[in-house]
Amino acid sequence: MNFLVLIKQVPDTNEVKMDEATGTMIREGVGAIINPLDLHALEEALLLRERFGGKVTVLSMGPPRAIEAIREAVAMGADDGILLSDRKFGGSDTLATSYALASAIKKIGCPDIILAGERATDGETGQVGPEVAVMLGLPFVTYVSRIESVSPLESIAPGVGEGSVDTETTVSSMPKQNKYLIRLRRIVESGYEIVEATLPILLTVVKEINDPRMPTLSGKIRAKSVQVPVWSPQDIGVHETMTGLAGSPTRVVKVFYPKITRNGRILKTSEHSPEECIKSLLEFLEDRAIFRENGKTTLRSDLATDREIPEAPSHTIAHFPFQSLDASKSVTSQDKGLWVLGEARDGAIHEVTFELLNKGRDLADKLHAYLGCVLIGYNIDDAEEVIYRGADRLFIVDHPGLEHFLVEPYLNILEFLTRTYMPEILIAGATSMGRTLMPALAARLRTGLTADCTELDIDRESGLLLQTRPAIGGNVMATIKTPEARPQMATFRPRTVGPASRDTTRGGEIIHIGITGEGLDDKSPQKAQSILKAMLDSRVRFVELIKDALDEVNIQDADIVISGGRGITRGENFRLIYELSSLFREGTGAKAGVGASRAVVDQGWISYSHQVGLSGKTVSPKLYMAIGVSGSVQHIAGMQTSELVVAINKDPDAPIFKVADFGIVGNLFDIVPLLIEKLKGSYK
Amino acid sequence: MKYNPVTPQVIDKLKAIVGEHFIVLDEEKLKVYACDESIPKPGRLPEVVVKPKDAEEISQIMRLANEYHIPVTPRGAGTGLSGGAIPVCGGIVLSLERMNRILEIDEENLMMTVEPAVITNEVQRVAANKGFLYAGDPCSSESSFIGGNVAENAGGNKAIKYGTTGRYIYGLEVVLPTGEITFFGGKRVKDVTGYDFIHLLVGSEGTLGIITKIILKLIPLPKYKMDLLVPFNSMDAAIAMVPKIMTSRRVIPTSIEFMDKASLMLAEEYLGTKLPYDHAEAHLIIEVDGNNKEDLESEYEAIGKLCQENGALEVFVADNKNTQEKVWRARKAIAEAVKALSSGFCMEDVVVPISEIPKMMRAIAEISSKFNVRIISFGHAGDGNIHATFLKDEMSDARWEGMLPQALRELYSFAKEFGGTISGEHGIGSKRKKHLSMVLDDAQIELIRRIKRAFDPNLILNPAKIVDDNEPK
Repeated sequence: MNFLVLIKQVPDTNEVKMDEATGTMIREGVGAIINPLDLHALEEALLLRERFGGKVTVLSMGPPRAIEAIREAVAMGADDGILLSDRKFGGSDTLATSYALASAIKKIGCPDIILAGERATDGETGQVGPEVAVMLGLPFVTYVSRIESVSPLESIAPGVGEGSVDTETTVSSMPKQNKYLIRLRRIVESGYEIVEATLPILLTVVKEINDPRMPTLSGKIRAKSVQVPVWSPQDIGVHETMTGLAGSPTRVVKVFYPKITRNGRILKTSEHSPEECIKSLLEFLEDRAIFRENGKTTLRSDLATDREIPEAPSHTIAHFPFQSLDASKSVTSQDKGLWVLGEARDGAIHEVTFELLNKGRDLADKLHAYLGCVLIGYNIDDAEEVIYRGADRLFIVDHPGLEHFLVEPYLNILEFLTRTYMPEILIAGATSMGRTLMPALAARLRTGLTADCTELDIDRESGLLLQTRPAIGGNVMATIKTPEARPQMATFRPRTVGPASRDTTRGGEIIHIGITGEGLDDKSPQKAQSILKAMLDSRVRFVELIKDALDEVNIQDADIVISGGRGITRGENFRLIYELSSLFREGTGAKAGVGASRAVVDQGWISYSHQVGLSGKTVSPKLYMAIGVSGSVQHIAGMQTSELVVAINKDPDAPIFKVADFGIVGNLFDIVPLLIEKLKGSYK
Repeated sequence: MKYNPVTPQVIDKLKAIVGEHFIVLDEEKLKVYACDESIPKPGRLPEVVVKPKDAEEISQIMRLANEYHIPVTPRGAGTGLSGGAIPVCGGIVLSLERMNRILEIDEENLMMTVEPAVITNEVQRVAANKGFLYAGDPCSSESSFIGGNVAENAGGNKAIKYGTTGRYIYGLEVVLPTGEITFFGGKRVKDVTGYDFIHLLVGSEGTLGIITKIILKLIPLPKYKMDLLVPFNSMDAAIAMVPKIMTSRRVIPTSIEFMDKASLMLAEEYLGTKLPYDHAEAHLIIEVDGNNKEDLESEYEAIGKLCQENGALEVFVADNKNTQEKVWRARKAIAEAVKALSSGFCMEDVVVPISEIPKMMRAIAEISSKFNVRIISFGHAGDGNIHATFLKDEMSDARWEGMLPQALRELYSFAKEFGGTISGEHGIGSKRKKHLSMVLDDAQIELIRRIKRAFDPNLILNPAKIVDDNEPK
């Protein structure tokens, strides 16, 4: 079996330092390393090679010094490596990068498994993997946390793995499919998903998957002398217009350094007693409405809702893929639309949809566009809710085959809708679904995509979408636009804004896109069936969803996150954090979850699903409480968009205090038990 | 020595000095101040803990203690391994935890002035941000206080190249046991004015004065460091490497650390992580640092090849922070793992000349089988400092208590026989006091007592440590 690993050389984020006076990043002396998640991808490839034999090749694109990353990978055990490096590649965005990588893979010959880290620690887009897969016509699975099995297909019960339809023909040199079935576990918001597919496939992996090996001395010595071909655009048949700036649909408008200092109120137990500190903290939380009535914390300002469409939502039936254009009474591709991609999980519309509608409404008004929302799923309840929350039009595709999120059917449908109605802008949540589906769509539509935006706005002059996102661990903010390509696409970080407010008097149009086969030409039912089958077919098969242990709130969904760091000194002390979180849950009625710094996850005190930060989850709760967390650059990157930050740490110079709205400098074991006591007094 | 109890009247006076909030009387909290890392279960509790904010308050506390004849035990982060911060006579524990400011980084003189309760790691970090190395580096650096490092003359991982804490101490503000505030030394590279009090205070284990300010020497931060992790299938083979590396006349490594299989297993269990060759009998960690990458590469290649020629199972190379952290994580976690996972333990600290390490290791194995006790070993191979740690495991309390003193005596006798001594860096404190006479003669012990009296005529500062407070002859 042959394996190919996509690696990227990134600045060593352990070494990222900020000049405190100017707020700029000190780049001098910052080393370059292989993107840490890519090491996990490489390790997995090496493990697979140990089992199945074959060859592991690494591929990277970057400046000439990125050859060091290739050598490091060889030192770890890769057989060889190739670097794409040429001035003409310079300025490539993710789409152009993916195109170059995909072109190089075509030249190398498609391996059985391509692996990549889920995202890089500098750009943090997570887009290159899905885009490369789509460009190669390969199925792909993101957020892989374990390869459960790889087994020859013959030994599998008949029926499984059949029906793999090559819907893509972009790669003519693709070898005949291998008869191997791969079973994977991937991380999603609510737990783990088990999926299956046949090889070849592209996987993006998360940290949990393995523990990367260290390079050996003999590996190091071999790496010194290994020949690393360096390829230019000509070498891989990439035309100049398809790479570098010319091949990149997105443009960076400006880069700025966020001022992350919050100038919060910091109390020291060396000056105030712990009791006084706790009293002030509780007053502060009270003041910021954390404990407001029956716990429904009012999240941020609600939008004005005097809208002019007074009728109740009207329903329209359209049939897919034949009638959709005419069926809707009002919408055509000529209408200027701003779309958001809603999410339904188990038929229920997920909160992120309402946040997108909140932001989307604001943007659509600025753009003088209608606000559209797409919902794909099965047995979706309360579709009107989307209208009540601000959408003018809902495109709803409800079919048993869409019960579980699988890239290909969702992608086929979304691509079809987008090509049909041509929205100006399409925004999805930066969730596991949004961050999987959107890059694939961007690759199909050859348009730009900006991942994980924390701010979206409309440029008054050009009407373009201004997409602002953090990069390099939140040390830098970049505003990006997509001048030519359409739609302009972005994923928006969940919980950056509150949900849109609800107005049941709002009217709007609900367009039901049927894919039942109704309205098909009776003369060629077979053709119609095959088109439908192709639409709904997926080379990746959903097997099951294993939900997280009960009572564990996914911290990305939580209103309140209480995190523990190394300061808690040992694993069993996490009970303090858990107790605090359940008291907050009782006291506020809000969802409260437990987070952790990387250090304590690495110590094994708590599982990876709790890790906040660059290599873990990004959270933006209403209240983030960091207890014994010093606040490394990577940790702060994962929580700095929280609305309120409270820090408790014994080190007055801990960086966490810079981003805290309220801080207590002191021994957490003096403070936390007292806080627990006080909260128990108030809420029990 | 008889002391007076802490009366309500004394408490009121202490409150008047430090403020009500900085007095601890709650029994649960007092327990914390009755332990250190070597003695996890509280014995005698302090009667009160005070947390002064500066030298002036400490001076008043010391005068009060002399007046009422109450013992005072100074305390840093409580990470000591000799029972040095344990209030064995009760009385007052004087916790320096509030004095945690970095006062100055003097880039013109390469000196840094700090208060005693700055965490060692923080000193290193702040220095590194300015391009300097603070070279003291005990394994507890993430939790120990710099003041404690000075009081114990902490050694650690980099001692073979950079020496121990004392080498970097240029000035000390000290509150004497009788209450005077004085300053020894300064930002002077040379100083032969009077006795070398600084190096009398360094390693005095909190018996001669309370350190309230420290001037540390900084050195330029080496640009690069590289680590090798080398598993061996026998401890003999691993340990035999040390003299070979040290005498290769090519390079002085920054560290040569070792851990045996049992220590590594324990650390892995504690951390929930694994190293690739955890079934190997012994591991060495070898670090080199410097400013020239190519030179360093050729240095570690030479060392690595030497290891390969001498029975190394593999040589792993860690040259970036991610892999280096992985290499060191297990080594640094052993002490904590022992504490967290064992039913009882006794961590020792013998040190022998490096040429004698193989003999010492064999002696430890001998003691282990003779007394039928599990002993794990790890530590600083490069400087001959071995943390042989006795584990209680399933042993009954009675057998453990009976066996330990004999086994320790035997351990110390071997150390002495090989030209070593009973403690390289953890100190004597209360834990090894009764064994001191095995390695120091009467004349020296008598001198220790006289010096103690000269500083502390009423014997109220950290009494009953290092030596018993018998009247001088």
